[in-house]
Amino acid sequence: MSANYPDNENIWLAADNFRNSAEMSGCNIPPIDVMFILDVILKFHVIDIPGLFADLRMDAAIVPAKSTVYVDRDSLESWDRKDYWIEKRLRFSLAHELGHFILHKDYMSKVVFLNITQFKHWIIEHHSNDRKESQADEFAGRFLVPRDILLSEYDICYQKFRIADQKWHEIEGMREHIAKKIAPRFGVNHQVIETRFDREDIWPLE
Amino acid sequence: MNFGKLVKDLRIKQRKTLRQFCQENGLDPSNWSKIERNINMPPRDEVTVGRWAKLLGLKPDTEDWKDFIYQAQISRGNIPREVMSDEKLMMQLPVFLRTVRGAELTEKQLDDFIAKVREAHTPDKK
Repeated sequence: MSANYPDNENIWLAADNFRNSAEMSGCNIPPIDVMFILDVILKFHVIDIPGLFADLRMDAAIVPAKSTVYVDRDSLESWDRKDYWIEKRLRFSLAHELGHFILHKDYMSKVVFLNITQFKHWIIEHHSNDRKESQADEFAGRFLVPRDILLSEYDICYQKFRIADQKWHEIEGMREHIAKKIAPRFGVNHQVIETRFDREDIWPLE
Repeated sequence: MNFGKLVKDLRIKQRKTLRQFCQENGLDPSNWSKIERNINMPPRDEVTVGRWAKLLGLKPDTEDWKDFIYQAQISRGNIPREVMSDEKLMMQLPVFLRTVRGAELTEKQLDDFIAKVREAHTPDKK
């Protein structure tokens, strides 16, 4: 596997291997508690930063070499108050950062900034167009939504809806409807489930 | 072992996240995080330190309890009080910043972010 450009198969393997590793025993059943994994299992410092989302539209950012993850304070407080919408968003964002840790740890440790100006230039140049962001997203999706459990959830819907209409798959909006039904099982937004349907060829977008 | 690591290890032994632990015990997570990272000093009074020891599962008058109180006292003298230097700050900055919907980041926003990271690694003013 190339450290810089793993393909989806390798990203899925990395996500599955980590989820099924011995250290994850007891905390790998969806909805997966990524905060617990980062804080208690991996012993990261979870540091809340005020205004991270409000000012920068960012939920979290990881520094593997320092075992540190910065998280938006408002989002954490909302999570504490059981705001389910925020919990879903933060779960995915933290899994994304975990993806950077698993996939890009070596790469990240090689990037060294000599001063603040250099850091700012690097971020502005690499921001938004780096393939590693989509790789971390792919990791997060697969990690939070294990394929075997997704297939069994999908199968339950398949059996149920097939009885009512053989062509239920073709009904407009059905894909989104099913994704919305399945998503709470994994504690993610329905878009994450729709992406899994697509990427894993379970119910590809026509 | 330093006091912050001891505190963190005892919390993790309870299998609780920092936020769970603080919520259950009425503690401020930001302050507690700085205690675990040896940035904020533990309190001077032994009553509060003893309360922390209890919250972290230690039994009064045991060797572990005494060691906890002792480590708290030592750390008060060892924790630096100054604002984090640029050199140390560089090592605490993330390589990737993922914004929602790929929003562009400006230099001003990054300056604010850097200031907040520095603040997160600087002792609270008392």
